Amino acid sequence: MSRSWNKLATWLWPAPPGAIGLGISGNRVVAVRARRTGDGYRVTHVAEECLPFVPFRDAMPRAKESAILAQAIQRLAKAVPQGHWPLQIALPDPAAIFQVMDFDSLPGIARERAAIARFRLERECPDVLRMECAFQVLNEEKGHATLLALAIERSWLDCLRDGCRATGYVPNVTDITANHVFNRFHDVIGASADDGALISIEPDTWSILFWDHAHRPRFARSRWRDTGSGEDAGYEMIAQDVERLVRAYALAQPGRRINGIHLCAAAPDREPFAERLNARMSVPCIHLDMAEGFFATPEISVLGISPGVLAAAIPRL
Amino acid sequence: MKITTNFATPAGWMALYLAGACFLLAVMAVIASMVLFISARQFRAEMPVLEEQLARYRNREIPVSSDLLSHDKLVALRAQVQALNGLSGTAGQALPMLLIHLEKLIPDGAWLVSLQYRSREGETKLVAEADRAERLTEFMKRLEQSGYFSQVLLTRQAQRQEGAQQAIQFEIQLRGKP
Repeated sequence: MSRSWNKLATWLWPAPPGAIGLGISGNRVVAVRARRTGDGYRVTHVAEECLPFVPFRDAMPRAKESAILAQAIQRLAKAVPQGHWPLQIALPDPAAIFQVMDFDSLPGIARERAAIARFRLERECPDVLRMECAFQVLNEEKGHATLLALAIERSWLDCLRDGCRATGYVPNVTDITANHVFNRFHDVIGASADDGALISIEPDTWSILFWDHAHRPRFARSRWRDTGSGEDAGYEMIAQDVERLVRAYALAQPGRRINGIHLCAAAPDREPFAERLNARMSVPCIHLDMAEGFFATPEISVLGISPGVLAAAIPRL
Repeated sequence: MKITTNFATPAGWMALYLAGACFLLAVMAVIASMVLFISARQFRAEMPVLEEQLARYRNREIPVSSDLLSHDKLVALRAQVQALNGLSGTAGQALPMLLIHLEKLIPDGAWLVSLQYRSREGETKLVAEADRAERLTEFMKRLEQSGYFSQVLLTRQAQRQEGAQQAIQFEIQLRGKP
């Protein structure tokens, strides 16, 4: 019955032909439209706007910044029209609080779950009061439940929404970049039976996301990249942080075992960072190529697009 | 497990079902339209024949059946039937109605032995028996209070012995209301 209904639903509501990924990375807003093909995704449109500020970095946007962001999105909407395509936004990872919480039990109603998770989050982090939260139940068994909570500054989200509304963009998904990247490589991640970690390096941010043996997210940390101290020093700092976080994660609970660290980074960052990471860590660094499976017309280069934006251009079904 | 957190307002889980319902409604509307269209075409095809029949009827071209009686003959026949009904009509109640009334009125412990019914005069003579005299009194009272009869007369009363049992036999004369 369920299969028949799913077939009918698929027939009535066919999967989108692709998606538009809108990524905010540093002071750049990038929109990419990718059409699904038999063997991957074909990038048909790319547009980029530079801003005089970095969205989501300050506590809240200034009025002038809201207007500038709206104008930038308007220009992107002209270059990459949405039509009936789903729009998926990738927000910078350090803008969000990523928290996995354990409960003895969770209420059955989604609103009550959100309330109890928010209450717990507010106790742990008072800044959440002015933030908007999103939740996902990761695990629910008898006597134990795990819930993922994300919190992002409400004023920035409103600023982004206003910008989209003014230009006719209707977002279907708004999530942090690390989550889009995690979903993009979900098949690769699912191949291992151990805990694992995924490092995602964007032009202005980096993040690390850990998952348990059941491939459920458990812990994540992200930082804005320090561009002032030079590239080499920057990679060294990230590698140092990663080493510390991996050790902390592995030691936090007995039985956790990480046999490989997945790295998703653009070509210029990939080799130098992997070199430093391999020098510090005993576990191998597994490269994940975001551009793999993406094709483009000769005038568009996929390599120039940051991994997070490409990940956001894959429809989340 | 994929991550599904989302800060955008989702379309709602009902959207798919609503879309399905709308699609079914649209299909039904299309089918209904087709049925109506076919009916309209059939009706349009029959219209000339019907209009021709109507025109013929208006022009009295449709033949009138010859075995029908004329209006005057029908009036005369109705008068004859009324006269015959008057001759055979009863002054009082019809026998089935009388029996129905008696069935309702006769008390427990009393029973009907014989009944003479003269429809022309509207008179009934009935002989009944009861195990006690109180039954007779009750029966008479019910007959008088029923409103079906204009006269209720007890014409005869006698004791009857049959083996060890003793019964009261009585004869009542009834006149039905006109």
